[in-house]
Amino acid sequence: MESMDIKEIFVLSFQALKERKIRSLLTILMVMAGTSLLVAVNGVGAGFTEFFNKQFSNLAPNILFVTSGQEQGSTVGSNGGGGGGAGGSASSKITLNAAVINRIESLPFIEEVIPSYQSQVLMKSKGEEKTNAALSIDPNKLFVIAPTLDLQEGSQIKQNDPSAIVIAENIAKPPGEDNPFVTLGETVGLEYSFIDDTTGKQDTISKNFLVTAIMESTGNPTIDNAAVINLDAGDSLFQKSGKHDSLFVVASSNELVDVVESEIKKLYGNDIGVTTVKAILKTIEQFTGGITSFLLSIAIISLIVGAVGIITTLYTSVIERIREIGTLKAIGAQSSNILTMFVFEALIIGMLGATLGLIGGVGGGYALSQATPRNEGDPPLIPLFFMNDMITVWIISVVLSVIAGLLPAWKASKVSPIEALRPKT
Amino acid sequence: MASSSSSSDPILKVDRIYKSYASTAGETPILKNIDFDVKKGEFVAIVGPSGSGKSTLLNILGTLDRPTTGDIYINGVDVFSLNDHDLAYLRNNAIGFIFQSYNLINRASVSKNIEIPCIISGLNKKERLERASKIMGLLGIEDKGSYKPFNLSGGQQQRVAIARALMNNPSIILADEPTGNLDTKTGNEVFNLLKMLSNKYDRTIIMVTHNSELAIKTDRIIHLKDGEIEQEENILT
Repeated sequence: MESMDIKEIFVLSFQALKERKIRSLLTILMVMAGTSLLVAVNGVGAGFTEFFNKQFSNLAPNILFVTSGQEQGSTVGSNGGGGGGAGGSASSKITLNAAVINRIESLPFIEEVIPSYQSQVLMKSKGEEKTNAALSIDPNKLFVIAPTLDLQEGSQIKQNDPSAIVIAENIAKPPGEDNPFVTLGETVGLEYSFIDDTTGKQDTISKNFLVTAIMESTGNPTIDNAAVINLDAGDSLFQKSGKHDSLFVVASSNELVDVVESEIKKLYGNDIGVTTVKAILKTIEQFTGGITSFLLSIAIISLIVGAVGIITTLYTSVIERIREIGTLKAIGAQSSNILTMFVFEALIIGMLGATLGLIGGVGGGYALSQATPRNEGDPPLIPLFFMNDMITVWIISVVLSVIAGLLPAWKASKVSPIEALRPKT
Repeated sequence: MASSSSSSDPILKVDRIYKSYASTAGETPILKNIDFDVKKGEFVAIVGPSGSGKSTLLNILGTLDRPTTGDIYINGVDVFSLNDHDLAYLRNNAIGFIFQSYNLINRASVSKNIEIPCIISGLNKKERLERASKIMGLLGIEDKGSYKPFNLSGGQQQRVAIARALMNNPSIILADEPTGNLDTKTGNEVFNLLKMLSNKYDRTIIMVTHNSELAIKTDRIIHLKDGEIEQEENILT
């Protein structure tokens, strides 16, 4: 007993879809929408991960950021107090002073501890004013924090020069602006505003600095948007009195970062904040992963909606073609032939929808990443499409379509030819 | 499917068929004690008023429906001893169906419609094209192969349906009011084709009809009334 020609069943199925063009097209579009969304979200998610990996790959992985846990400064605000005593609200927090630095330095597996002050300042140059982040640190240690740091030609890092300032490229020539805000060799003014604790009034301190170096973009956001001044200059300008805002703790190797972190935590408990590059990456990955999962769940729901569309379309088709089914059965088609015919229709819808969905998804991924807000000067967010992921999504879409087609196909295969061929009254 | 028939055996044997349907009013008999034979090459007309059980009988002869009791033998095979799968195989190979409203697939070409029984049986493309071409020539629709059925007249569509019924060289052809949707002239043309198939090609045809003028031109008329054979009438030619 020979079996029905599969190719011919496929042709009949394809013709059946062609016969109901608009309906078939709309169903294909439903599958396409779900697939596109899956591909686009996957692609943008992978692009995000890659983006952050790239952004953070420039950070030295053996560095730990230690803070006292208190809120870091605004232009006008509590950072005038510097240490933990400000306003009394953070009295339980550790003040990052020389004693703390010495104590941390005495812990095992620590190469050095680099103290820093950070604040917002008003920078004045050529009659223009801009608010920028200022990082007060030993300029030579910039290369420890950002090993990939490059300086523009003519730049010079002057050790222990309290009047020298090193400017990030983003500040020197803000992206999108034609003229540089600051040039090498120029003198700029920094103005720091704070609330005087004794009088309760706002006060400002100003100081001029000579721009001795301009830093190329490193990918380290702390450095790429900062004006860097000497530690002593920062201490006096920001009125810190030796109470540091943060410490860069350099572990002797990448593998020992976790050990060092737990050692510091053991010493100070929750009174101190310790962050590692790994932890930052993990947090960001969790965040982007959460968003991606949420969007993926929407995409999967939309794919299920597409599957329901297939059920509706094919079920309607079964009712409309009941006479054809009856005739085919009368002339000898097996129930399995009828089942195959309708499953093929679902398969064709699924394959076309999934394939168009992949193309649409890649396009949609690029459109989504273009629409994603990001800071000027940041590298572009490029969605990443992996062949394996695409094949998986394609298979999921097609399999889901076929599963959706099974119910109407089964119904069709069970049609009684007598009922189907009974003259309509 | 073993066949134990010899040349003298009837090609179709209907043995005391009884069919009833259960309804709220109780059991309603549709066919009662139907018993007849059909020999190879015979052209039999089944006539009777509406509700006499003609269509039910044709459905049972075509193995689309099972009788409540009784047997049917096609080429000596007790068809209702077969399972649904084997019955479908039997319908494909031993029975040709011609419907009143042609029942063609409009999206497929005339040629493809004719090929369908062979597509179902898995015959290779070359052979089925050759067979279709020969039959289309026989029925005078050789130039219509690429047409879609809806572009043909009723008479031409019925010729396509006849061609489809002939494709697997069936033992019997069952025609349900084959001229019912056609005007008298076209109806006569289609009937003459069936007659030609019976006379010239020794085809066994069982035709349900309301048209007594056509019935009288067959070899035998079986009159059904209230589910019973009222009379069997051999036509002398």
